[in-house]
Amino acid sequence: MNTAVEESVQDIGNDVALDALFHPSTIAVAGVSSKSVGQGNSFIRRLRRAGYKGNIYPIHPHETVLEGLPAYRGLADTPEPIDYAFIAIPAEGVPGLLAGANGRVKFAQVMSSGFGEGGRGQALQEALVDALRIGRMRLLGPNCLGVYSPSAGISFVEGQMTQAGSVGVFSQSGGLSVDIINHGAHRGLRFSGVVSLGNCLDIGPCELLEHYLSDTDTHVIGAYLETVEEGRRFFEALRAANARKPVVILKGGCTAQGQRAAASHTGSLAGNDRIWKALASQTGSLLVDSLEDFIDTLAAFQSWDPTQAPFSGRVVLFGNGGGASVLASDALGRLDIELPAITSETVQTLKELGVPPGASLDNPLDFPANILNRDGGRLPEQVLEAVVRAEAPDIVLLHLNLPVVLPYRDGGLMDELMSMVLRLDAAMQQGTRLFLVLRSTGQAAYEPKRQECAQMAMKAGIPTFLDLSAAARALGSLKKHGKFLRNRGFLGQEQAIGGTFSSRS
Amino acid sequence: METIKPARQLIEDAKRGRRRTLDEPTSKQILESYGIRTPRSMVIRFSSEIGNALRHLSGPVVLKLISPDVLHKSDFGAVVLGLSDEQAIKAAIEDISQRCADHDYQVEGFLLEETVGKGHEIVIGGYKDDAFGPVIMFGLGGIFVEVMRDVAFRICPITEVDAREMMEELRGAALLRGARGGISIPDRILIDTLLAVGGERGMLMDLTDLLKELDINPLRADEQGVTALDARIVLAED
Repeated sequence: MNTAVEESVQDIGNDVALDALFHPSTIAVAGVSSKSVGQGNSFIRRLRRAGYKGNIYPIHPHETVLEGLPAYRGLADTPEPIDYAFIAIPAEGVPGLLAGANGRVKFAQVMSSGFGEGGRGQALQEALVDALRIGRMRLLGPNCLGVYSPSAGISFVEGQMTQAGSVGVFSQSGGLSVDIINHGAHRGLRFSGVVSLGNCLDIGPCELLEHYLSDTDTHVIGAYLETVEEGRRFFEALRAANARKPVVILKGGCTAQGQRAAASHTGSLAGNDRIWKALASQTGSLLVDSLEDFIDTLAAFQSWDPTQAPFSGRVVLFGNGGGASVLASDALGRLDIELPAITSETVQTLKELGVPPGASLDNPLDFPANILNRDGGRLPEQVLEAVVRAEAPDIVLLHLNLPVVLPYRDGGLMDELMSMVLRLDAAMQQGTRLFLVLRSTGQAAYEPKRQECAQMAMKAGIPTFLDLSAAARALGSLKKHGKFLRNRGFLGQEQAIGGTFSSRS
Repeated sequence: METIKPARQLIEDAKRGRRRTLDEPTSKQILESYGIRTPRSMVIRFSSEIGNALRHLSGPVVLKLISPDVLHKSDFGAVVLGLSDEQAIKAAIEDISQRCADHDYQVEGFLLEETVGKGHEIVIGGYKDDAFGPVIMFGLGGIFVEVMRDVAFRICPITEVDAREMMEELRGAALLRGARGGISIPDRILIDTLLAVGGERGMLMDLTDLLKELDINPLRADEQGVTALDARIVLAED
């Protein structure tokens, strides 16, 4: 962004709370066609399908009715002021449209591109900034998909909306924000919002971060970032929040950054990846490397309860597959997560329960499928109840290998084990959480059952993973976050979600 | 010896002299003003001053060239260790001066410093990032920083907990705590040093408008404290 543009954007002021962006009571839509299905038409149809409750005002230079709704010529002509204006008309028309808003629009979301991306459209970009000042509004974009807000019924993806939830996401890539919603929905994430930021000509990552930190609906924050110009502000907002809401950061372009031209030794060792790693260490944020890791980590944190003591890394691993248990123990060990030995008293209890030879009586608890099948599947439940009661681990990581378990009683054992998982989770004592791993080979024969089981568990709020290494990585992030809190004396209890986060102080 | 001028004044003086990189004695004076010890030293311009300098310093001394044209003094053979008598120092000065003349390098003077005892060599640096502001770096010296790049970065200001975590982040951290029978440096000493450079009232925060880059390399550390053996400060452009 050039200096002139930057200065005029600052004139617009950025002290307006973003709540209306997520919960607008009125929406204007420009880019609705009477002859075809344009972006605006699709947007209105999605709003209706998702049950958006506010008023919708199509904007069009000469049509009077669009999508069955009365249309208006300009943003200043609607019967009531507009909270959210969705703009998907050709770039050349955007500045004029916004400049005519006469202060009656809070937020404009410009989907159109052609405002300086790839070095083209600089003049239009400047015209857009001028238009914001003249029309007096805040801007999301341009070149962005906008806001996904399940609780308000606003979406930029087709298909069923997910239930509203506590995960707030912002992304500097539109395509990736769609991936996050789709992938996340499939993995049980429930969003308080997902925002595609586009070119960040006005509203940028810092403001979204500050919004989610103070938003009482949001308990976990995810960010896909490429360029953060106000790095200092981003760092300070995170540091003031002290990781009481976990923040998961997927940073693109860490290695592509050229090395700084440096006159000192220190300068030559510095790099963009080093700064983000430093930021994560100092703020308790979690830096992840891939979209899969991002989703897995958010899934692990979604059920995190900030009033509980931070995760200390004590895990009981239970499941079928001896080698898989050993490899998972190694993966956890590398991430500084311990599998504490089961005490001799508990081992005695397990023996009395009748655990046969062939099952291990230590952590990891390896129970082959034929032993899981004893007593109609009652044995594993008794074992886990006894272990959780006596050992009080932070997390029980329960893994089931479907190709081995499914043949038992034609799927009957698997169903019983899933019922057990749900019962155990519901009865889990304070301080212990259940994480589930449903392993398989990816072969089509097992996938429908795996999906069914996964959906069942996720619906119950159980963080569910598709392989042990993904679960281990997510637990690694929990451990880092817990260590950050402990090192700084935050031990749970006193921190309530929401009100205590003052990001605008 | 000169009394210590405040850091800002030293930097203003250097700027008036159109300098972008502070010489070693000035860089060290700035470190001293933030409580980071440097070896006892004298700056001399002529061989006739050697005798007087030696009366103020004890033990064998280190001789170092002061020249804006020589950035890597050791590589140029412009650092001579273990000098005790006036004649040897004079000879070393003549040798270095001759080689500078051959390369048309300016000689501003020579630094005579007391020799510092054994200890671990560590590195502390800093720079100003365009987006994030001042950043501090910490690592073990020698091959650890040169080859293994075993360093930890933090955005300033750092807290005491940050400083402790920087130490723990280093793969070579155990060496600082006396592994393999080496010298054990109390954590407190390293934490205080890191805070003096990168803490809330540390040098990088205090001079954030003036500094571009900082190298304290090496910093000799033992059970008693740290001493900066070499330092370079690059100033921000106005």
